[in-house]
Amino acid sequence: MTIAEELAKKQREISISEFFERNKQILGYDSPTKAVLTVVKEAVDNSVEHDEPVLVRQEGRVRFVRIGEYVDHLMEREGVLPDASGRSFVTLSDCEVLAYDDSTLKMRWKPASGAQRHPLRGDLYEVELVGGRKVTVTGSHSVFGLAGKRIAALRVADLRVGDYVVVPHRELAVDDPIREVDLRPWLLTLSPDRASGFMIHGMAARLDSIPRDWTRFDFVPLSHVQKRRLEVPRDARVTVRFGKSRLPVVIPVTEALMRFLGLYAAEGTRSRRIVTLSFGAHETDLIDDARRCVLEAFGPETRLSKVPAHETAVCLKIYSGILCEVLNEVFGCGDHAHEKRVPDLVFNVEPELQLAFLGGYIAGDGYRGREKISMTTVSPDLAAGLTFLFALRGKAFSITKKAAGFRVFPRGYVSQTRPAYSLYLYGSEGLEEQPNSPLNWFPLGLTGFLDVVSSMRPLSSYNVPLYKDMWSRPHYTIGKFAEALVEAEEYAREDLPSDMRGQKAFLERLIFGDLSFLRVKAIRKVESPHPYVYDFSVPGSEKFLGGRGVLFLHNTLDACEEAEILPDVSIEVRKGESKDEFVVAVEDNGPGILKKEVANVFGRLLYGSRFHSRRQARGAQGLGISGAIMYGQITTGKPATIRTKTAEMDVAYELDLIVDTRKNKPSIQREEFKVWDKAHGTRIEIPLKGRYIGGKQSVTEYLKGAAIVNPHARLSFKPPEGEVVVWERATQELPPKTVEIKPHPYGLEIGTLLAMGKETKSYKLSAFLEEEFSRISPRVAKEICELAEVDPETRPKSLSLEQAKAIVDAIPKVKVMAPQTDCLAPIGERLIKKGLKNVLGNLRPEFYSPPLTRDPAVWQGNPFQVEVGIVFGGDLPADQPVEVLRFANRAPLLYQAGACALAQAAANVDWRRYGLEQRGGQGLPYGPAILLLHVCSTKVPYTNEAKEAVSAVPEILTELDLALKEVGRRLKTHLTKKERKVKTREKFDIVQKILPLIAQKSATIVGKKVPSLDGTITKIMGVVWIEESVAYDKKHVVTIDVHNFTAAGKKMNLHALLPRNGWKLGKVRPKPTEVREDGKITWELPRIGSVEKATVTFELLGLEKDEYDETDLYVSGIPPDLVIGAEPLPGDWELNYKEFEQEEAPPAVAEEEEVDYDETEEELGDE
Amino acid sequence: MSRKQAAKSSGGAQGADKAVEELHGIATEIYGQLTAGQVPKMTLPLRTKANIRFDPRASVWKYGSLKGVRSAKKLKGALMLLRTMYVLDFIKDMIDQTKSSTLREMYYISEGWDLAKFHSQDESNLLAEDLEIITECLREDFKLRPEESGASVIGNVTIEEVTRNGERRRINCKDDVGDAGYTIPYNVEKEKVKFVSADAKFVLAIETGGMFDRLVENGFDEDGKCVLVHLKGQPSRSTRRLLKRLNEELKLNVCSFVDGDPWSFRIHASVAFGAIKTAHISEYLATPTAEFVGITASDIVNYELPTDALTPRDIGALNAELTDPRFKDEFWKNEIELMLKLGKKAEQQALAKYGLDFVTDRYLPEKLGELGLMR
Repeated sequence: MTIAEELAKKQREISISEFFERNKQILGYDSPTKAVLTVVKEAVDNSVEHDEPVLVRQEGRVRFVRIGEYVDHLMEREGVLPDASGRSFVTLSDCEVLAYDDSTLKMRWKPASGAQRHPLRGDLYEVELVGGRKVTVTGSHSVFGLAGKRIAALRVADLRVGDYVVVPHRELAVDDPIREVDLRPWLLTLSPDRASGFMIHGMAARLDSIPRDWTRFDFVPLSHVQKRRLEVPRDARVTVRFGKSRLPVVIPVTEALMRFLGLYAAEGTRSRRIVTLSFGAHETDLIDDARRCVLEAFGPETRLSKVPAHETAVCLKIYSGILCEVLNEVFGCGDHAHEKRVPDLVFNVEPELQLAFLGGYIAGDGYRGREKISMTTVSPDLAAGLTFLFALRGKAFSITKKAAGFRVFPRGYVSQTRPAYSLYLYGSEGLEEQPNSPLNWFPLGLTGFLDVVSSMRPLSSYNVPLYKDMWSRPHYTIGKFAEALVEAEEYAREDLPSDMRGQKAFLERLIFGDLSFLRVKAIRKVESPHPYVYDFSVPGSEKFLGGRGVLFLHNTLDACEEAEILPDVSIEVRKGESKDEFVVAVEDNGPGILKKEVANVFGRLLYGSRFHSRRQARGAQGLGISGAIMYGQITTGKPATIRTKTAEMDVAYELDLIVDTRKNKPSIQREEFKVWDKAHGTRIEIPLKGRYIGGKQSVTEYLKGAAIVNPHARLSFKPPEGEVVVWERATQELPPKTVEIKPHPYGLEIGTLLAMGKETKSYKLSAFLEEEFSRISPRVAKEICELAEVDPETRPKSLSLEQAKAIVDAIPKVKVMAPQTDCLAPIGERLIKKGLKNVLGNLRPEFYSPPLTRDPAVWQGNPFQVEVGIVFGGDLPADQPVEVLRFANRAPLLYQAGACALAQAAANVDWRRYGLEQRGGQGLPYGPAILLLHVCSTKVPYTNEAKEAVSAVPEILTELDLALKEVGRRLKTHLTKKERKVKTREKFDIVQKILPLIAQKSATIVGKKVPSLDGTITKIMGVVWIEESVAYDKKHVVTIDVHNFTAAGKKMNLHALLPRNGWKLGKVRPKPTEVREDGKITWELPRIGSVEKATVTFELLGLEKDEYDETDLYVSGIPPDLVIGAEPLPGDWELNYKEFEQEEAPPAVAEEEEVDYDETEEELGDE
Repeated sequence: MSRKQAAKSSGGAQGADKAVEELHGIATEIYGQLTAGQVPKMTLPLRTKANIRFDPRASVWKYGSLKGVRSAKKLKGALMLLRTMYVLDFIKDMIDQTKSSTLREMYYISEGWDLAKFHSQDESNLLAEDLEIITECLREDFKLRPEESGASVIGNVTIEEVTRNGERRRINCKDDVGDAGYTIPYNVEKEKVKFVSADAKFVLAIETGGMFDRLVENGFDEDGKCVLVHLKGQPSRSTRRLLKRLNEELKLNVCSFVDGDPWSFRIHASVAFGAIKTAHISEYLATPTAEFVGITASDIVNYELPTDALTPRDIGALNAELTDPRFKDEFWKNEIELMLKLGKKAEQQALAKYGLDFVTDRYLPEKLGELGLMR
């Protein structure tokens, strides 16, 4: 099994539309396939040690296994052979592991596509966390931890003591819990030899022919049942031969059963026929309770008795051979103290019942202290199983291991002891809140919490004690943390600065997510007795829960990031055989498609597309690529030709394909293998009848748009006639991945709710609401149910129309947090600028407005975000309407501009205010400008199926309007500044160049010495002139000259505001007074004499040439109207400097009244 | 500046001395302003049509009292001041070395003046005129001469011209010249050109070469007893000066015979009223009694002449003329308005519609007859 096959599995999941997106829309390297294709790189030496425990779920049942045993077993069963490097891979078709979801930080089961085993190379490390959780992995393996205000994979070899590692913190819901244990499947598969030793009671009387007189006792040997293939009724019971105690064949899962299993794990032993629980003689209550549990769990026919063992001990003996067998073989409890396990059943029952198991175990083996419950076991499996159980129930715990040794008893008796594990469960009640557990501490400083809170509340006068308190403490409990964030939000008057938004979203996910942090206590190199290490592949997630003490392990992300492919797409349109026939060919360098999937991917409509996906995707036009193939085949009668090659394939697979429209199935007309010199990629050729046009709605325009918003792609286009057009890649940076989110309840429609109810895996309405929607907490779910007067226990599948309506009506009345927004992938200000520069560079526009990305907003429950950029001047045509480039979810829109909200919003702005020509202040303005508008949303409201235009949704129009006006203001500021600068620049030239020459020349003529010009210069200028120049040679060198052209000396502070990030400061001269994290550098300049100048220089490292051309300069401590070339520093800089970006420059001072001789030449030249 | 002064100052060593003195004065003023910490500036009469006043004494249009300031506060002003300094220096050198140059040469020499270099010859010509105005000298005093191609004269007039080697030579402009006629030199002052005698009733100043040649071929100078002068478009200063001298000294009437379009009206204006550009020497260049016998809008109608449509620029120029004080009389008002109404213009040579001799047999005799210059 190769990675490519893993890929295939993933490809089954991608919709046609997504593939279409990649090939025709050219846009998709952020699909789920990416993670998989990048596993191409060898994943050797990146794995978990043999004995590490993991939870897996098969056929819906959770199992607690050692990874090595589990994988070895699977490989043996499948007959997998290792490859040359000793590595083996087994595909998993029904195996899920626990992972957390990136977008919500919630834990969930994720399918593992395969498991691998490879020889151990390099060092093994044991990572121990505060509280004793441990995992043993190879050095190149990663665990998830807190890295610079986010969660990231940290290589174990790079991990340091004190780092924070992610651990589960909340309870994990149990999907489809087991409610009864049916012994029949187990019984029916016993070997005939053994089966003869089991008797089934309660079915003989109902049988027609019984060979012996079994009817009298109403039992039948199991072997007979097996041989005759008889059906065992549910109410039958089972014994071992001659056994007195019978056991129901279907044992209901009850509190009593679970508590019994807990007690057994703590105190139980078994022989062939007797189960023994040992107690202290004084524990009479417990003994009585144990008796109750047995009788309730296994029925009154179970025989048991209390037997004193010695003076201080009492045994409860259960005479049940069948129970002995079941405990061992069905429950898998383990026989002896050092082999005890947490039965797998425990992981599959309702949470209360899991607690009943723990209760039983603690009652038997635990000691309740004031603040914690202590437990000790010599069974490593039991200890590990308990930690998983604690973790999945959201309990705080710690674990320590006491090494094996000798114990000296009184009277000199020496005994060898096994290693023992001590577990501590925090909180005296054990199963309740444990606020003092380290698990509840959040490293506030590291999560960025303080930054966010302080940015939210810019005024320190809001002196909330909580906020103050937080500064002084390194940790804070998660409860307080949530409260503080909410409280801060209420006080927040201003929008968060953009760089904090992501951080806030992250914090919100932390609050609502299932994760917490623990610090690394120790990291040691260890030896392993096992020759192999193991790993699961979890496509799209690359993390799984494991380790002795439960933390998230990561498999191959580093490799993925390295191997990500930058798209290189070529498009060709050429004339076909007949007159109006064309062939469209698209070729990419994508991962390629596995042979067996090709036909389905291209040849079936809506193949594998998913329901309710709330991820921002570009979206196909209608039916996607297969729709295009179908169109071609209908119009020309010819098949499409597809050629594809994955990295693993030596030759490419090529086929001719048509869509069998009746069956919606692909029909392969021809297939063969061909040599292709491409490492991997896909090419599709579709013949079709149509018309090729140039101009506004042409392929070229579409690709131009695509190139702007995908600066990481290289596109080339060969039109039917003429030259190949190439849009080179402008950046190596891939766009951020979009994450999928669940729908927000606001704006939910009844039909959708009902449909989702049918699909969900949840069994209860409340769980359904919590699981399938974002921002619904248990409290909110409860509130909704109460308001709607619908029982929270209702099965979602059986919701009635009335109930659904009540729920939909109730939702708006409940306060739900706004949707999270990291599901959106705006292009971002930097990349918009890059893309525009790349495509429009030859027009040499003089001004690229800093593009504006608005904060996310919501329409009908769908988060959306708008972005607007404007480009002005240069060689852009000045006498035509402004060109409007429209994009929705990163795809260019070409048609139906009139019906499109984007174009409407642009036409509704009064552009005259911002320096563009516009007749009557409405409609598209005229001028040398291009407007770029982008709406991204989890659901873009297109006007039609073809996705050609965006509907005029009021919320979107409002956002667009605000963004356009803001960008307009920036343009206006630029124009005003430019005008003012040109004028002053002129004067500067006069005093710097012309005046000295006049002085010199006049002095020569009159034969006197050259006069001083200071007085004249200050009269002409009368300002402080600040001039900046930026040079680039591997780094940016910024030189700022401050000329004092006023009549007196001037003292001032100069402030430079640099971009927020991506650079490092090199040499700075003179030494700045202050360099702030927000990129503001301040110099307190010494007094500059009249007609003297001061120079400030600094170096910026790490930016590309194009990324920096101008510094935002501000001055303070000087009347602002005396300064040209820098803006006044806003007095309340600390609060909101943004407003000042919008402030318009003061009007130029009126010139003298004298008539300018040289401006009045109008009549001179016309004769 | 009085005519006397102008006439007196032009050319001679005296003029040069005055020029040096005046130019030095300009430099001294600028230097003084700089020393005082002031913004250097020069004050000049505005050379616009709004600042043209009729001088009833000389019957020509001269600059009025409106003044403009050329100041170093503006880039353009500063550059002109700098150029002024360079030009001053250049002229001083020329005078010292008794050389002269053409305006065009000065334009090219300015290539070496760095920032002060002229970007077009218009700029250098204008500056030379500015200096004339300020110093009340003529550009000839500055040793600057136009390279204007001299216009031609054919007719029975005898002049005496100083040749290059200093001899005086008599030329009869009818008998001693070829078909191209006598070429007017750039200096037509008395020390260079003297009138000896003339047998003519009037001077006909013709705009285009084609018409000039037609009249020569048709022998109109003899038939009409007139002196034909080819203006070559907008006439140069020396052509206008010569016309004025023919008018004043030989008492010949001057008539301008031009195309029927706004630009030709302005040619007549510069001949008869004084050009705006050179209004400081109008009394020296303009011939107030000159008559207009060119194509008028009425001619277009009366003679049913072939026409061209007015261009937007033509229309603009006609409208500008409606507000030009020099055209402020009934005749011009009516003709301009009529032309605007017709939207048409016509060339002199449109008269050939009726045959090559039409202009000499019919048109000119009719027009000149009205003026009593032909029978």
